[in-house]
Amino acid sequence: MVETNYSTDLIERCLQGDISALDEYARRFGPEVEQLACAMLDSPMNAQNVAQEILVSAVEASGKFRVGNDLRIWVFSIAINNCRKKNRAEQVRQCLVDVLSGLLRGQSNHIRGGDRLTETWLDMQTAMRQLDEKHRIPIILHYGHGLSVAEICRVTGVGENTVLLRLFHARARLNRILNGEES
Amino acid sequence: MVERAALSHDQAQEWIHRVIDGVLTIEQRTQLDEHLDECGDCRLYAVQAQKLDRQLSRSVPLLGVSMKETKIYGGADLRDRLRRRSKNRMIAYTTIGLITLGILFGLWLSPGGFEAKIQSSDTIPRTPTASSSEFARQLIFEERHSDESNIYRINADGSGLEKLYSDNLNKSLPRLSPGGSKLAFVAVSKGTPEILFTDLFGGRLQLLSVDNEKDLPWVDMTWSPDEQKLAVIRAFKAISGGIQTRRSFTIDGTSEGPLLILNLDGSDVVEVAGSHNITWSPQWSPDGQRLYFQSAVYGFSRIYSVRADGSDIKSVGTLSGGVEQGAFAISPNGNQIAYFLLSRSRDKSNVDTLVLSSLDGDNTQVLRSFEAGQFDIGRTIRFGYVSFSPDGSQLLYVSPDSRAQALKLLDLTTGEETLLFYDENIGLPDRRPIWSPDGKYIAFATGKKLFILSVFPNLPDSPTSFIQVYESNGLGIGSVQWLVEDHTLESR
Repeated sequence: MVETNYSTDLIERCLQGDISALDEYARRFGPEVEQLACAMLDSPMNAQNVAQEILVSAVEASGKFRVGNDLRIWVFSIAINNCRKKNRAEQVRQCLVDVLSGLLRGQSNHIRGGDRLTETWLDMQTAMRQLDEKHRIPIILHYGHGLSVAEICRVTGVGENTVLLRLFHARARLNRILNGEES
Repeated sequence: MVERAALSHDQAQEWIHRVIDGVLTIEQRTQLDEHLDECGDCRLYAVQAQKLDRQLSRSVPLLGVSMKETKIYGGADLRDRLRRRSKNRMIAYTTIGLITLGILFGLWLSPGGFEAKIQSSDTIPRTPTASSSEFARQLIFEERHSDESNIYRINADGSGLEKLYSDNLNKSLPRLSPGGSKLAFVAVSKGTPEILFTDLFGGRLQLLSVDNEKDLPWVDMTWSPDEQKLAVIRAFKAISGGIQTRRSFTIDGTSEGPLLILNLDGSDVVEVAGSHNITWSPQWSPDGQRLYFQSAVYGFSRIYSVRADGSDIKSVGTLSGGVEQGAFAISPNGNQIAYFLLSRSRDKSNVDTLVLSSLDGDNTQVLRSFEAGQFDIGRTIRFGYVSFSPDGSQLLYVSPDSRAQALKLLDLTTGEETLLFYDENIGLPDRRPIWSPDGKYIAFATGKKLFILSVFPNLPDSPTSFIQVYESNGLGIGSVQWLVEDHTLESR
């Protein structure tokens, strides 16, 4: 209850523009939200910018935050929704780029990789990109952020059995992809 | 001991993942273990699942590792973004507001302005403010063309002709409610005649849905005094050799048919006179308790009345001295009825009369006698008319006399008769003349022309006798109604 009151107080102070509260809020959730955005976004290069936007959106929507809710879970649910919107916008943009590239008979160069990318990372990155969003999100939240099944339910707004089934099917598909049984 | 059903491989593999997720119950875990003891494939699957779980635990967090330099999140950045967003939002709202204002201003400047926009919608704007002249009043009438009919509004001095409703529906039978606030009319949509009604002061059109015989036209209707019901007459198909009547009231191959009373929402439909009766001229009693109408149930015209719920049908008035009852009118106080008694005889020893009696037929008083044969019987029964002035002191009627049929006014107090209108070039009204609510004027249409008569031509702001308000370039003018905001009767 103490933590809950603290969260409510923190988000309210953020909304009032209290710089110390905003500082604490940003340090506390910034890295984790960026990590989530990086895993979720089709264009992870934008993750830092998107993470900042997510944090601002959460402060602006703080009127909807209810006492008793977990602030971390609440910020995550906003992050998931924002990342979904960004992905949809990115898909539209990519579609336009592809069309324009085709028209100009050129090729778009996707900058991928970097010194820190390992083979495992690439394999997993590739496999994860092949999952659809509803299966990818529980995997990211569970393995990337350690959320329990119950917490994933609260973030995504779906029931426990649905989350369990999505985890099961996501793992099964990842297994097939990583073992080369599915391209 | 309860025997458990054997676990399938699919179920077992799903449960293996539930073990990983930590949500399997102890009982389920026991059941799964029993299955794994016996099933090598599922044991292998369990090993692979655990391996994948470890792999995901290692790899997935790496997906969230940014390829950029690690960012130190701070409150200053967030505050700047919050301010920027707030500013952007204010600019966006201001822009939208200015654009909206610009559009509204443009509409205001455009020809016709808001009024034109309102006209194009399904509402009728309020009557313009009355000037000092009584003739600032307005009329609603139906004009018929060969391929369409429409409803128009016109000032009583002939100015300001305006078509009501800009759609392409054929519209006819305009009927104003007694309070003057509602208008009902018939519109033909895709070949189906529908009754529409609206509140004149800002309401939208509403459909009065009546299910029976949808393809047959409506031929007459009248509002109940409380404006909550309509009495409507729907035509029925003329059946060759079928329905026998002595007179043909055929309109486009149909005849006036069943009389229905129904609420404005289409509920409580009462078919009053039965589907095989010819009915016409429905008129409500002033208290709205009974509906009066003419019918030719037995081949002879008679006046009947019925309760609003369709019960207690009974004939009205008397037949003494005549074999048929003609046109009738209920007095404004609801106590008396005036009607023609027609002998239908060419024998000059017989007489036709205009009588006044109480509604139950007592105290019958002959107001006027006419030599038999002078009336055009069919016309007088069907299209003839008699009507009380709004204050009940005078009676307007068609008189057959040596000057052919003329429109006359009978003062019920003094018995004095006035020739109100006779013009052999114009002829008699095609439709029932309509008193203005203050009883000063009478509007009527004949052929293609719409006229207004002054009941008191000596009034300073009245026309000398009658004026032609409008002449149609179509087939003719149908129903006419007064559109007046203030229905308060002036004392005279």
